[in-house]
Amino acid sequence: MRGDELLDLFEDLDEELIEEAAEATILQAPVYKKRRTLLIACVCALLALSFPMVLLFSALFLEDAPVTNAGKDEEASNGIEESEPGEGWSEDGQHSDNGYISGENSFYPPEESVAPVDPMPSVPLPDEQTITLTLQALSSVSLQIKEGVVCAVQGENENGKALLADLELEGLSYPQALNTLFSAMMKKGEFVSSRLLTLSLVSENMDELTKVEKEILEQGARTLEQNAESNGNVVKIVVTPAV
Amino acid sequence: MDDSKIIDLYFMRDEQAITLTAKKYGQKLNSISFGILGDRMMAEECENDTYLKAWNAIPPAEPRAHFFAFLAKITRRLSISRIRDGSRQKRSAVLVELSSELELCLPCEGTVEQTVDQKLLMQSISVFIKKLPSEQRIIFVRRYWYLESIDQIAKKLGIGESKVKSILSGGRKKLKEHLEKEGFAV
Repeated sequence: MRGDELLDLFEDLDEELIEEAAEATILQAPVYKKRRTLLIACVCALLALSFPMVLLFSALFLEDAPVTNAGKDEEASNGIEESEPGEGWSEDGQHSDNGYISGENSFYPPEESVAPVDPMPSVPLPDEQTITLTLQALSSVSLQIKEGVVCAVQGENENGKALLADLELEGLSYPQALNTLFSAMMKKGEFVSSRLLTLSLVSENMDELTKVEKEILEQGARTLEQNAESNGNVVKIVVTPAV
Repeated sequence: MDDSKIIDLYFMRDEQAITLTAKKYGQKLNSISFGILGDRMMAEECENDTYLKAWNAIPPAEPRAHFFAFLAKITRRLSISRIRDGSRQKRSAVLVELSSELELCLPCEGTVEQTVDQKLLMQSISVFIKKLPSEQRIIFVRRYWYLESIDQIAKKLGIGESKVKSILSGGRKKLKEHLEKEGFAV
């Protein structure tokens, strides 16, 4: 025999051997099993370690990232041309400083959207002090606040009573209650037509309030203003003593 | 469908037998032929020729126990014949390479007696391969029966090429010793 004829010697190989070899795939030798198991364990460990890290980083850098003009500048420097007001931002050309567009034909935000509720002001209210505030708009509402929490509400006019009928403010913190009231008023369309709106938070016992308490009221008012602005409404809230 | 029922159809001369054979084993047979020829079209022709040969061979042949091996043998024979016909020069080099590996462990000088004893030699090789450990046995059959390259074997079995080479080398050494013990002049 010469050349490739030697291969003919294997031609009549036992059928079992031929079928066994045809069916063989990955050999399950213990050493390869061990290596594979080790590799899988390493990958799982890496994934398990990286998952909380990703969560931590996203919590640190993404959730708290403020919307600033710096961000807009960065976009512009990345090739996105910054437009000027009245040059195509919206049909009526209106915009706010934080980059949102307002107006009847504005693209966003929806006016009914509920503003995010900020936590309580950092300075706690005095334990025993009860503050009565009146939010004066088309719907006039009084809130009694004790230890930073709304303990009683009252509609000062028909609109106010109607508004309160749909809301449960008692038990909410003071800023939460203000936000809820404001959102409800927006839904009722009280503020739709006005771009700049002045609300009065009237305290009947303003003269008796300490400096810290007044500061807290101001803080609540500013929080509400900021939330309103982020929803495309320019609101100015003035805290005044009751007349 | 069960192999035995397909064989029954061959015996009844029902052409459905070929359709069912192609459905069950067509892909595997094509893969064997393509591994040897390295040409998709020729592999397809060999696959079809296999069905024809099987049609002509059954009956009288009745390969109920190992129908696939029966078909695979036909495919292998047909594919190697194609190479030997001279139409596939490059593939012919592959066969010579495989044979040169075997030259050191198989009787090469063709005497009349050895030619007569070829059947015995084939049986002896078969017996030897059966005795090999599982891993070595599979690699040996894939290399010298399926004519697969070392690279292909390594990939299919999930082991390194160097391991395949060393297993084959060890197997050839053992085969030589086995044949010498059996009285063949290597």
